[in-house]
Amino acid sequence: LVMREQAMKLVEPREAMKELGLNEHDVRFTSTLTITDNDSVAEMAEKLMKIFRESAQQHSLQQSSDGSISIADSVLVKVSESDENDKSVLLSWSLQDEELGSHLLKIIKTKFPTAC
Amino acid sequence: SEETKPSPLVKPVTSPTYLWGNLDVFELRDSLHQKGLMDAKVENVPNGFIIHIPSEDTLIQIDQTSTHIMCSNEILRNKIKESLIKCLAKI
Repeated sequence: LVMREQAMKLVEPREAMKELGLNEHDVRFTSTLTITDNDSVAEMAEKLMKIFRESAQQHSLQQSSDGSISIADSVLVKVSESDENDKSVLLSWSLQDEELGSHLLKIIKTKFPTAC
Repeated sequence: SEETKPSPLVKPVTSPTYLWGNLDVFELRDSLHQKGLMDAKVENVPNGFIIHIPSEDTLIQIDQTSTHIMCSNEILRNKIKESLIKCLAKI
């Protein structure tokens, strides 16, 4: 709620900060999991898409041409080859999506055997 | 037996925290030391600072408007998050 010239209006927190001259500080987290799996990178990304469709169904879900997956406003997931039997799954999210990001990290850990 | 499906996410019950201002990297480092991460070291880089925690293979990249925590240990990540939120102004 922002008050200006005796009038009050309701604005998004980010817009309110801008109007008040406050410098927003973005906080982002990145966690990388090493998963033991013989599937290809594309197959692993497809498995993750299936899991996200079930567990984050009310959030927007997109897969880009390079295979990376974006969920809601800020969650990004990317699979890459780690070595012959392992894949690296990188999960990145902003503090504003903390509940979603940490929840998805937990789900990936329970669904796949992690090498570390 | 029927495979158990993860429950769909519900909207978070807690309000998101909006942080603002510049981060004092040395205050954050001291807070991490207090949490037992004695090898957390501040390094200068062209656009800001990095706090490196070699024992945990963890990096925190800091510039004037953002902080990026690269950490794969959930317990440690939450400790860093707590320290960071304490060191920044918030609404």
